[in-house]
Amino acid sequence: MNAGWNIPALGPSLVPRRFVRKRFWATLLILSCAICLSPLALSKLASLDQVLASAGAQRTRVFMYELEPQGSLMLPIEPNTDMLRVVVVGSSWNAPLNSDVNPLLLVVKATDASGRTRHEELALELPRTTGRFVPETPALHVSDPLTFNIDARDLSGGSVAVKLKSFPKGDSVLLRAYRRQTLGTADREAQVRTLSTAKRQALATRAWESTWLDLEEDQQLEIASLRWKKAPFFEESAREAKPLALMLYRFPAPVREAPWPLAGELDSSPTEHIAFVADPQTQVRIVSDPPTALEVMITQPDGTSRRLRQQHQVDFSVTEQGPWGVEVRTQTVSRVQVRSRLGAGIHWYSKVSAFRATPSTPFIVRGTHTPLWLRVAFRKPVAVSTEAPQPVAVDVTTTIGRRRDRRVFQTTLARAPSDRYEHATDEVPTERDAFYLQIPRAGEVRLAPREGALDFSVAELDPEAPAEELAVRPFTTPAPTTRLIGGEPWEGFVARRPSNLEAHAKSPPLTMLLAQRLEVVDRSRALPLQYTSRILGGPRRLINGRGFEWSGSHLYVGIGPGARVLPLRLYADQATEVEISLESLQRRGRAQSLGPFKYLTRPRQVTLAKGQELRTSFILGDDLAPGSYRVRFNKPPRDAVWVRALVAQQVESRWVAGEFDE
Amino acid sequence: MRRFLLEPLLAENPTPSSNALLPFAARALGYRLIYGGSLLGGAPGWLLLSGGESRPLAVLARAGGVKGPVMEVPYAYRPELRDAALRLGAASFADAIVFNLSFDGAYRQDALRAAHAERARSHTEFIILREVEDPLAAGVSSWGPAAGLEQGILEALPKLGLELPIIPLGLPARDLIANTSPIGHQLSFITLDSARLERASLRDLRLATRSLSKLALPAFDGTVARVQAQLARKLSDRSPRAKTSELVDVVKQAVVERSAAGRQRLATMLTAKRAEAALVQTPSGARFVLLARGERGYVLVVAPTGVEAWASGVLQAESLAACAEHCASGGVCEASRP
Repeated sequence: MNAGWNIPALGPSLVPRRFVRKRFWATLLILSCAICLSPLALSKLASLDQVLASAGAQRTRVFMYELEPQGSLMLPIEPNTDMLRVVVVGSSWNAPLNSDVNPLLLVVKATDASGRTRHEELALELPRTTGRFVPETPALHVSDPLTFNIDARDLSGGSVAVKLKSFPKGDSVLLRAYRRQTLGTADREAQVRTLSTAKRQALATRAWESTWLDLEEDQQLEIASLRWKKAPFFEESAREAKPLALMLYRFPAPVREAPWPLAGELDSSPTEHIAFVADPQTQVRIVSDPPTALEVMITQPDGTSRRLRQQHQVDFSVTEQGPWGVEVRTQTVSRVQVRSRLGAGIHWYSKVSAFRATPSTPFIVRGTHTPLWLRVAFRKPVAVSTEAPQPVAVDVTTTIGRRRDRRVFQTTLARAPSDRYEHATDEVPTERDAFYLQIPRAGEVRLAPREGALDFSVAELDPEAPAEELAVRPFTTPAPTTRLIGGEPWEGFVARRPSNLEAHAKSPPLTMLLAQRLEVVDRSRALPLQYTSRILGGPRRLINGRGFEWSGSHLYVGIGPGARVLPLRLYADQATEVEISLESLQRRGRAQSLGPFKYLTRPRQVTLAKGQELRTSFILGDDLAPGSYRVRFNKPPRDAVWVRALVAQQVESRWVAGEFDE
Repeated sequence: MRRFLLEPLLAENPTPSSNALLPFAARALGYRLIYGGSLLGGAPGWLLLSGGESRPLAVLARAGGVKGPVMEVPYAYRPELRDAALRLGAASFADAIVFNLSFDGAYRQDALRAAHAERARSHTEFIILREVEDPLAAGVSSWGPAAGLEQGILEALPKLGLELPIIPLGLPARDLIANTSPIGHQLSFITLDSARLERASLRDLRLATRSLSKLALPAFDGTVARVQAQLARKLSDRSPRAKTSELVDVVKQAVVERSAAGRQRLATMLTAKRAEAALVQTPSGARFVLLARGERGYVLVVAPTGVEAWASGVLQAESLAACAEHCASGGVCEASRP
């Protein structure tokens, strides 16, 4: 084959022997050095590779262009380019970029074919060095990458210059660019034909379409027409910049677990707890930031409780027998996030507004054309460090014309462990107490603390509100041992503002965050039971072995001072609704004075199921003047409702340590 | 969802058959569809809401076809952001507003992606509303030749009592464009910080609407002058005359003090056609506006629905228009002629 070629044979005659000997020794020296050092280098590389391989990382070699401060690199814009994507990596010699935020200022100058320019200044914050990018140059450390896009429409034939204005925490940045190219009609049709089914579907998903096959032909062509291509950077002298090689470790996408939507977040400390109620079958996750020891106390509907202690995060699932009351405490001050999924979720804090009153700035309510009933709830603001219960006295002054009636409502309030003010950090509210008041027509009520400050939330009884539903339970079911505090209130009492709003203008209403809790019922605080008397001879019926009266029978109660509870059993042959109310048999009516009253007697609604005996209790408040009353059961005329009450020959009340509660 | 719900809802020219299917498709997918008389720009529109269970999307769309810009709110779980979107959408002539209500994900959520992709097929103008923490990052930025769209937004902002600078596009916006935007699309990004969101919020108006819900008052986004003109058209010449002091008393009790008894009194007055009333969100806050025939002509009572101090001293003016100017942020004014 080489017959026609005169190739001189390479041999010792052409190379001086002395030079060959020197080269041999030099090569031997380099080889021995390399052999000595290679285990060290290999061990380092191998250990890094092992770490990355254990994380499932795949290695790719990428080339990037270095841009020093005040330096500039240029990208020529090829035809059919509408967008440029630039990948930026911060670099630093000798020390890694350990700050969480590494600010960087780039100036992008876009020039179109006719020489018109547009400037954009981009303030970026690069992430820290994590090892995702590993430079092949020793002693060079690089940050994780950040990408940004540049609008390149109308720049065909022009260029984009990227200048590094400042990068205080690093030495230079490394850039890589891609251009988004739109294929022509012929090319895009060819592209669609050659794409595999998987690739077509991937393109459709990327364009946020559900399936490729669902798309019209022109939409398929449009999606397939977009292609990202690498674009080289040039120096200002139009010479291609020298690229630098980096190893890029791509980590597999993390497996996405079902999201944990945030139910709420609040600060917690050893003295300030977080409380909420979680519905049955809800999964709950509690996380503290910064991490700290978490103690979670769970109260179950049967009154039993249990504690969970974990660092940083606690997960648990509420059983079908829920809801559970949950109280979270942290060992140090920390932000606590509560997340939940499945189930009906979490009953988080509710917001209630209150007006702060002092002896000199009272909360005044002026009456209107009609008498008003008010529910006055109050709390005392106390320092976060307060532990002892606080004595509270509220001056209630009612003025009717020239007549003035002054009373004092006294109580003791403990600091609320989980309620708080929305914006205050140095004080917290106490637990709540409340009373009822009546304002006569054209009267005025003045509410003020005897000393210090009190936060009042005053609500007015809506005269048009329907009766409140009474809690009922089947007669075989024992009384609940827990009750929900802070649940959905009855909307018959409507929050109102003071009539002297202008006096409170300097301190706008406060917003309190009130926790929902499951509280164990304190039986020792139940009201005394009320007995009834009846006129004999009315229709009677035996239900479940007990005698019941027809609801139209005359049931009477004789009331003395103080509130009491009237236990009732109700039965209906068909599903119906009954309104229970009280009718005074005295000429003066039922009200004994203006208040304050701890319990208010008002009509209550009961929903009865067909053929089911239900137990309930009706409150006879301390607003009733002593005397005789008749209990009325208002129901649709055709429905037959049967009632059983505690009957005594002599109508009087006597104390029974409570089995009944409202 | 895409074919039977989003496509007809956001179509430029919806067909009667696709519209007829809409309520059934909505119910089947757990949504509730409401056809409203005066939504975006006063035109009739569709309102797609959750049917009870949590659903990722809520959509407000012009019923006659979505031809103008579409506003997207990727993180709409904050009510303030929804308020700002509704007000800006109406003021900047958006034809549809798409709210992503799921807490996590935004454009990672399939429902929002589907809604965006549906519009991106045939439509080119998008407004995207987001919240930012840094007040310096609040502003309007655009991608592509969106000068007209941007101008519309800048003109609409003062109606909400807001002013925003034009700022460079942020990184999330640039990322979104690369993932979603086919060639030729115009996108304007509005970023609002929490203080501006608070100012644009309809919270006071919502609270007042809830507090006075039994009165079924109409609520407007605009000025006292505009609302007064509408009420004047509704007020009958035969309405009985009322004393100014009585009107002030009723408004103070029902609106300023939020008394249930006062509200009942106001309801009686409105039912008897003795006065006309409405709620309005003005650039300086929510206001209650009442117009009645008084002893000397007409009485205009404008009260703040929030806890601001109310100056209820009576002013005198020649016309109701002059009264509305005097009482732009609250007050009482008597005018001899409409």
